[in-house]
Amino acid sequence: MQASKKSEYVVVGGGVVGLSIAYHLAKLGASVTIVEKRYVGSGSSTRNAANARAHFFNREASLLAWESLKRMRKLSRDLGYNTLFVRRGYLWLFYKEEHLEAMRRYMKTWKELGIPEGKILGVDELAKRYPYLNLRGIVGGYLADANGRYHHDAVVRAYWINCRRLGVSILEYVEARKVLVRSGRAVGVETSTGAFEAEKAVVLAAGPWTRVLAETVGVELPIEPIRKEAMVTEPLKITIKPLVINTKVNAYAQQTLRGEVLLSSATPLDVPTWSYQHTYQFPIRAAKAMVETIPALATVNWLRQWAGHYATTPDHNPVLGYVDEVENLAVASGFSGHGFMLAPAVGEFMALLLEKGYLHPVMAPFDPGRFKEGRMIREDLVIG
Amino acid sequence: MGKVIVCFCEDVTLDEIRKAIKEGYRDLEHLKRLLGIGTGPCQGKQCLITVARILAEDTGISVSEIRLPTFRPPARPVPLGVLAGAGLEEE
Amino acid sequence: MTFDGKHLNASEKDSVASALMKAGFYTFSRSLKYHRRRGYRCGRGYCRGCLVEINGIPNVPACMTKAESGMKVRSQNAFPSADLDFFAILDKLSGLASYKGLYEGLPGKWYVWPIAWRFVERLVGLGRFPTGKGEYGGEERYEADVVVVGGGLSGLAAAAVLAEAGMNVVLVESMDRVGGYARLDPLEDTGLAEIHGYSSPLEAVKALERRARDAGATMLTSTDAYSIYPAEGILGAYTRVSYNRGVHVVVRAKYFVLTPGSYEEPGLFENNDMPGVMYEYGLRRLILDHGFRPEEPVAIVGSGWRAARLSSFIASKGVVVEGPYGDISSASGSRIVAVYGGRKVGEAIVVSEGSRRRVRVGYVVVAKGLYPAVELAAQAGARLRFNPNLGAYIPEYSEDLRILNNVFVAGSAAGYTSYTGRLDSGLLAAYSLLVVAGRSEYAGKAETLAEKLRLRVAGNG
Repeated sequence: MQASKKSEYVVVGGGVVGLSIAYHLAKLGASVTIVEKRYVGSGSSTRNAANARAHFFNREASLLAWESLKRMRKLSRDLGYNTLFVRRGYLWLFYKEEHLEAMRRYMKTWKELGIPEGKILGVDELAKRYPYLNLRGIVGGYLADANGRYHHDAVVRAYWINCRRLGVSILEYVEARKVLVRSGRAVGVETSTGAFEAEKAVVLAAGPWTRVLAETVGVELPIEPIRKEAMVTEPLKITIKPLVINTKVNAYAQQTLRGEVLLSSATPLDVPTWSYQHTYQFPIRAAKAMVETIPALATVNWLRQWAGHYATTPDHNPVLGYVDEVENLAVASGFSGHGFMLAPAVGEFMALLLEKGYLHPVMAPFDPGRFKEGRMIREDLVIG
Repeated sequence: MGKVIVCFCEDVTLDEIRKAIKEGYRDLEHLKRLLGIGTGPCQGKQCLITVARILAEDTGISVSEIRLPTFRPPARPVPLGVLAGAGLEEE
Repeated sequence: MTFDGKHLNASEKDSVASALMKAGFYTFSRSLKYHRRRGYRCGRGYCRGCLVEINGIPNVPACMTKAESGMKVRSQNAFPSADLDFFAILDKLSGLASYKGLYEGLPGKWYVWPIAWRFVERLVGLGRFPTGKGEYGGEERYEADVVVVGGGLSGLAAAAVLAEAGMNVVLVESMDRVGGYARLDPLEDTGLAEIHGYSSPLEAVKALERRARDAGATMLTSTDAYSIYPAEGILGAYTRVSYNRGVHVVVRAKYFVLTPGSYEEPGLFENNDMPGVMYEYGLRRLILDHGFRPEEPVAIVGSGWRAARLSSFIASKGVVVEGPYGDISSASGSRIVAVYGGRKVGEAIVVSEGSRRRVRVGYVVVAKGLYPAVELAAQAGARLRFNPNLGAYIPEYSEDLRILNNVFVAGSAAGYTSYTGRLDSGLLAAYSLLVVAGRSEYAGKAETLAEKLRLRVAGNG
């Protein structure tokens, strides 16, 4: 592939966030180069659980997620490629009355924000709708049925194909090493295959590596790579439709669009590390949690486990926008486990900011400067 | 014409793999994610090397330069109930 | 037992798979996407072609499950039955969608896709959601000096040497008995006879098993090693007690010897997935373990010494053999380019030097190359290297067969495919391990064997 070494924007990271930003920039007529150190989608985009929700536990994140969910739902139409959004819903199972009460309060907030607020389900209702659940110890559930699943590999491909159609140059196995700065302005990126010049801006959408690249020009971003693991089973006819969340141990299970049961669980090994190494303990923990919740899973064969990163910030919310320290350097990272579901909105809003100078009010609270200035956004429950 | 199956789990044919390579999916990882090769119940035990060879043949890359996907547990399928019955050190 | 409601008899010797085939059921289930016929192929549980539902438990490998009276066996992904499946029409219609398959390959526009999904959603997945109960639980823990993964010729040789040297050895074997591929080969092998004095591969595994057991090695059969963590000294495994019972097994060991053997290279020809087309191990097991007499003639796809031995073996059972043939990947010679049949393969199209003829076949057995089982070695951190002689990947190892500080590899998993190569590499792994463990008295033996194996490069037998 003939690579132009000069374009208006250089986006570092060929994951779904980088692709979405590049796609929206190209749609506004800009010339864009994406440099990706491995293959397109190789980081968290191919490792994620492919669920999207609007329901977060603070206003800012809920609004951004809702904007993104609306876009994810009509992505097939916008991109002309079947990315398949299926409204499967999220089902939180609660073991304590006070959690159910808290959920009722959040529902009011979501309703005020114009987000479909979902419903509380009593134990009888749960038994009727989801006969596969073991309801022992459960006091009720919360079903957010506006949420759903997409086909994550198809979403990546849909952006990828559209980027190529709009002339974005996408370079795989090209590793960004350093942001190039001239008199206080980002002017390009030094990579494993030489320098790439950016006339308008450099955008770091490199997941947890964003922090490392920002550090090359003295910009400190508090983003940690927290290892998370997931696993799938052999495919079964689809029965478990919603994402079933066991809130007692912070674990979940759901059938993918191919029928595999996907499981994940929080474990003490979810620690900051660059490693994608899987662990011995994870499948045991996830299986214990979800076989208790859905006993029929005991006979289902486990097929694969893998590890990925949550690029996590101190307030578990993303870092979006220009950095203060260096001109023309923008970041979109720190999604803390929600990057894929937020990519449709983030790509659009970032492109508006970069190309039109318009800061979308929904994206505004996530500016990179907030950590230094102590304006944290609270997010207490990270799941799905 | 009948199908020549390369990936028996996901029903992927020789023809489908060749078409995908022609369309620009020139990495095992991309082929895997597009066609599902190696993601089925046998986890690539029967197809992976055949696909690597086809990819090498069609693109002119040497087989030894083809990047393989990561190998992850389990080497053989395990019922979740067996895992759920396992002990953990810290408990 | 019953299959899709029809009664059939099974003997003591039968697996669910062999019982079905003896009763004339060759199609066990339908495939995931195109609803093509699926049945018995590998005979070792890995190919997952023979998955069936048993007593409400989905995705059970029929070849690894003992037939029991009263079992209710059902086909999967087929309606109304495995042989007469309405959705087999998908195979015919597959040309209408693009090669990308059920989701992305759907024709039409964005407004069609969600409607199509309502239909597709019912089709995805293999087995039904479980209705049967499993009895799992508990964990067996073993502490060992060495864990040997795989009880074939090389694994048994390593286990025997290590146990006789006083090491505490646990051997983990996936099948219900040790012996691997060699156990199913009762004919004389000149190499084994001349160098090691065993009259056949079968005799060699019998003798080595006896030696290992006498020296106190623990043998865990029907046990699949699923994960390996050499730095922590952990091997994760599980013992299949029956189709719905299993126990978790953890072996804590200082050293690991990986001798998991190989998978078989599939044949490439049209309809190569048809029931009645199987791998060599699958056919040998059917004949020797289950007393199955295959319909004649049995056509062989393959070349070299494996195909020749297989041919002699089948002939020794009084069964007519055709071939060996090549397949569409062969450059020349007589090759099978397609097979046809109904419920099972019935004829093959053989092409040779411009001629094309139909050959009646009862079964087609593929004995091409071997794909070393590299999963555990790769998980452990070994780099994989393509071996051109083998046409497959093997882990990188040093001359003493070491892939990591405390992990050794041998047998066909290391690329040694001849019986003497398998056996000698098993011995070398054991001697090398002993030297690494401080037993310098084995250094000489290791040196001599390493020299011998150096002359017989991996992948060249």
